[in-house]
Amino acid sequence: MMKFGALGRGKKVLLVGIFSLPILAGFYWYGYQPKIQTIEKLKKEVGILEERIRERETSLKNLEELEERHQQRQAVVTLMEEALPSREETTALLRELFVRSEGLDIEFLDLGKPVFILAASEAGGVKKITLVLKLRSPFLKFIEYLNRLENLHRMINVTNLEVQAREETLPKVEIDLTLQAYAWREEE
Amino acid sequence: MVENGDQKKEFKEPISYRYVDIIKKELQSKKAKITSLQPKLDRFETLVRDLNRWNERYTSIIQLRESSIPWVPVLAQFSEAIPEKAWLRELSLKEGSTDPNQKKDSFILMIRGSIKWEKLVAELSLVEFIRELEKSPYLNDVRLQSTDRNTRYGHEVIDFSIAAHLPRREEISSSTYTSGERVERSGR
Repeated sequence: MMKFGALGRGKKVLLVGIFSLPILAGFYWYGYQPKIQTIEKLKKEVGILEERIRERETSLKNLEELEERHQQRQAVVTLMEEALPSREETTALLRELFVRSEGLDIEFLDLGKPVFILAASEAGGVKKITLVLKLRSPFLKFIEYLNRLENLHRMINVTNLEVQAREETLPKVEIDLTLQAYAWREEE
Repeated sequence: MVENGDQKKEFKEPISYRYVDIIKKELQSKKAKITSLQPKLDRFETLVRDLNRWNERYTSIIQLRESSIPWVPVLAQFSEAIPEKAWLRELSLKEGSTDPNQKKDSFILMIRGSIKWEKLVAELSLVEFIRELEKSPYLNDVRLQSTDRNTRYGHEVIDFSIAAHLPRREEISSSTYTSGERVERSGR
């Protein structure tokens, strides 16, 4: 067997080079290859995104149905806006109260100032507008007036009513009428 | 089984940058998919928000309507039932109940009137009037509170006072037992 020391310098360098190359390659392999944790992390991210896509696609399955329902409700929304408007619109309301009394022999003795009260209903918020009116009218005509008010597009509730028949005003009666109209308050 | 297969597959995958690139590409495509779904999802959320808002408003309208008193039929029935020789002096509303078992926020309708006195006829007319009021689905627990002989407008009269529980619309529609009782009562 040939001794290492007997080899020439060039051969020695070559031999050392041949032995160290696999070692360097090994270091390169372990040092620069991606780690399992990195791959796992990426895979986890992919999984999360897949789940998110699945969820969204499930929701979007109902999109057409929702569009249809939305379209159908548009007509109702207009009616709701009339019944429970977003604005108080008290001037329009007072006008309606007068207009609806036409032809009914109703005298407005006193038209109270509207009072606004914020009141939260179970769903959303409703602003109450209270009006106290004093009227003089034949009793049956007054019932007709109430009927007209009940049929207004805007929702009105009669919350109090007091009828007094006085000898000097008969057959007309005097009525204290408390009305409540409402305005819708969107939750912020 | 699938899990084992997956593990096997995972195990077989080479841990290399090429594999990392594949996962990264997959990740990118998922992100792109999510981005492409976003406009539809935004629309979906808008629709859901709109529909929920409309539902809240609709519920409020129904609640307000259900909590109201159906004045028109109450007064119409009252004017139909009142005897020929009787007249109304006062009609008023007060909070409370004629029956302690009934809801606290219910109302009592107080009717004060007079009936021209004729021997027996006046009393019978008054009884008939009360019976007619009892038949009304809009009045509960009708009670004659007082009668008084008096002189009004130069005539001998009986002044009477009647109290009745005035239910809200919601109570009228839900009180099946009471309406059953009413049918029996009117059939008698």
